[in-house]
Amino acid sequence: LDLEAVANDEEDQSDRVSDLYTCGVDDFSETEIRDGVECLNYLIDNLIVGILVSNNYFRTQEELKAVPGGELHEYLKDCRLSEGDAKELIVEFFLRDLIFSSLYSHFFEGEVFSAVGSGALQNSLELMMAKLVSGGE
Amino acid sequence: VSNEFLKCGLSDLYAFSGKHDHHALQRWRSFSVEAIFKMNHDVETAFNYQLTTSIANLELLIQKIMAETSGDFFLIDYTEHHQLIQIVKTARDLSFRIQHGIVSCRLFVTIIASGEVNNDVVGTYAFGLERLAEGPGVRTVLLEAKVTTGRRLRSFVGY
Repeated sequence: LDLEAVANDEEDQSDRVSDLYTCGVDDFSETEIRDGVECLNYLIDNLIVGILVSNNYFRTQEELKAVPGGELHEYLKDCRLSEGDAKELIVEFFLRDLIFSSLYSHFFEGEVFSAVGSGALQNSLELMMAKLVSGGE
Repeated sequence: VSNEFLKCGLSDLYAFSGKHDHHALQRWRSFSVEAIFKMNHDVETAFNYQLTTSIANLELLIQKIMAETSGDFFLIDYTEHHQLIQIVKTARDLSFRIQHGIVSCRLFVTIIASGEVNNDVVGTYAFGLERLAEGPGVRTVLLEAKVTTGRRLRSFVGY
């Protein structure tokens, strides 16, 4: 047994652990993060169902024209929709998209950094990371 | 967070890693995010403002869609408001965990399913999760984002 080699190896491992910059150990598992995403989806589901169950009255097609939105909004203000299930379905999709896209832009959008406060700070951080990735060029 | 802090981080990073090192880059991001969340009061204030604003905006838009049945009826009552706060806090916490606690790879919360980019996606139905591993930059889907397509919607409403 090469005791010197073992000692060196242990020293190397100790250095790696104490050197936080090269430590690649995650604080959370992917499963925990995936559970977190599923939990978020579940909470949003609950909210949407609660809103739809307790409020069966939607605004009229004319009133809905004033609501801002994307493609789903085009369906929402379509006069062919009655007050029945179809409209409820469109409202549900619209509310879901509203909440998901809003949360995404606030907390998850960004190449490397997200939700760091101002857009200017996020841009600076993204630029610095891009510089690091390119080797400081 | 001052530019000096970030510049220090950069020079430290080069000193420690000496080269382009994936884990070192991820650690730098982790340290930066931690510093932003914990050390910079202005950004914390911005986060609180963000939280309040996003809840208020969501409430406002929901109220524009759903009609009130009477003057005393509130669409977003205590229960829904509490749920919204919990949702936004969960999202913020998740965002922090992904950026600060994951260094072996990069995780992305997604709103469009892989391969759906060119289809007629009109909205998101559920968040997904993807991993970008070190190396060739291949994305792996850990949780598929659910989307609403125009085709699906038209079939539901009988167009």
